[in-house]
Amino acid sequence: MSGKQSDRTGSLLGLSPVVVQRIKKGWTSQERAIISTLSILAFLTIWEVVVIYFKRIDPLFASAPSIIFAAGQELVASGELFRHAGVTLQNLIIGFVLAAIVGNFVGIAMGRMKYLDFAATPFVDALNAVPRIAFLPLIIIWFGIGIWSKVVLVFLGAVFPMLINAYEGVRGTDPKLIEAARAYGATERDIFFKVVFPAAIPFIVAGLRQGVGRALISVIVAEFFASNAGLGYLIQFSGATFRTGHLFVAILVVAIFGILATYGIRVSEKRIAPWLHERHAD
Amino acid sequence: MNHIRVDQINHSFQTVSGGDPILALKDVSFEIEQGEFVSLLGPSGCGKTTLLRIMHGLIKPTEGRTLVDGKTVTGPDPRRAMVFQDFGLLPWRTALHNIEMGLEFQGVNKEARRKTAAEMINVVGLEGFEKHYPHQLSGGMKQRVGLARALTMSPESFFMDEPFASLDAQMRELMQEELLRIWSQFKTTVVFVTHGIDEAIYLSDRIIVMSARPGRVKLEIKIPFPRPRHGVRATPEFAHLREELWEILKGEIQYGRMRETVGG
Repeated sequence: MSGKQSDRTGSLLGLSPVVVQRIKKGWTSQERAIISTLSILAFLTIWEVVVIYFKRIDPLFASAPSIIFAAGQELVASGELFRHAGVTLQNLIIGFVLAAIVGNFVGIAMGRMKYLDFAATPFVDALNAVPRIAFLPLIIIWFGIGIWSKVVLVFLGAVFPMLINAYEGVRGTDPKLIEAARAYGATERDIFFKVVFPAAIPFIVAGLRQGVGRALISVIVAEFFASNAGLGYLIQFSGATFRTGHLFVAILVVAIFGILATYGIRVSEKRIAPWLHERHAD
Repeated sequence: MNHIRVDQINHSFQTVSGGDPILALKDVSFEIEQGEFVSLLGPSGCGKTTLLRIMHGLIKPTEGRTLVDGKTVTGPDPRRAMVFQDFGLLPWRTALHNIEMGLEFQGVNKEARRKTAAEMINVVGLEGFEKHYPHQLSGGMKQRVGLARALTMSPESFFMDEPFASLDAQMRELMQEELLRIWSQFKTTVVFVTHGIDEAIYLSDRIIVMSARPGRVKLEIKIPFPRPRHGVRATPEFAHLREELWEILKGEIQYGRMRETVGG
């Protein structure tokens, strides 16, 4: 679009010349917010209209925003949504926290101790290579279908990205920083707590972000097969009983969990290590 | 008694790919007097950086020893304050907190550390930047932080590893002036590694010229210019000395290149 054209379009949309100037220059956040919202609204409108108004597709099959909204109301009113969400959250948090503790501890230890690294790596690599879902039948045999089977699968899903990131963070410490610390009289302990560990923190946080994503997948899958409560169970049950409206509601809640979790960690990642994200002054 | 004495240092190291060990330094011996500013000048790869680290105690030489005040060096010592080419600053610490690092490792309490670090900020001219992080500082400022950190140790000597090599040409000259200004207050012994001839002549009392790898002392030359040396770069004597040293260095660079291609 030429300069003159976009000016005219801008004023047609009722945008001030200042905003139009800025839009011409780049991808402004105003533009992004407007268009993203319009896109979502358009999608929902088309969906609703195609299914309900034009009756093009069977609502049992495709559902529709109005149906989903109604299903949502029903689930909230009966308290079911909160109950299932609560169960999922519980499984998720316990499994994730355990994975975070074990994963980071072992990852850091492996990074510092050569023999532990050599001894443990084959197990880490082997377990990491297997899609965690493959362990589910075994987990059910060992832990039944109570809370622990979910927690264990979440743990297995989340622990490896965190272990590996913590390990890389420790191993990847800039040797020049360690040398500088030694030159100024640091003991081995000083070097670990004041140089290696702080340097590893951005990696550990990245590991947490990856771990959360995996944990969420694991908890839903575990709840598909080894549960009678939780959002995963709700999804599976709604699907089995053809309640597509409920199905979408559950999926939506899971999506919200996922977005909140990863967004939250991503924001703190930027805060924690500004020097990794910024460009230098000179 | 001289302050620092390097005694028959020979050093070789294994390459990552295995094979024969590389001889980095050969029969290196020289002496440095108390309060002298000595530059180690040589072509890239001649081992001067390794030599500096051996002298400091960060690396153990394969053969030979360094003596400081008559005592053999066995390990790194913060009283030999080091300044690094890449600054060596912890990116998650503010300037002030970085400056405190040496004192922190010495076990000095927080108040005393703060106080000394704040004084040094003034000495290096970084007032107002105490709370800045290294990524928010220019190269010259980062190196000032490095200098300040060195100064907090009230060191007996400064070991400087091409400290201005990462700076642009203008900043480099500015920092050279700064260094001399600060040094003239304390008149500590300085061991300064560089491959810049102008820099070495301008700053030093004496230059130890090293050969290409394996590094040997090729010659020692006393710099005849009196201090302060503000206009000295424009004098014909400076130019002469520069040319002389450049011819020597050029020869070493070419010789080193030749040996490398031939496989010596």
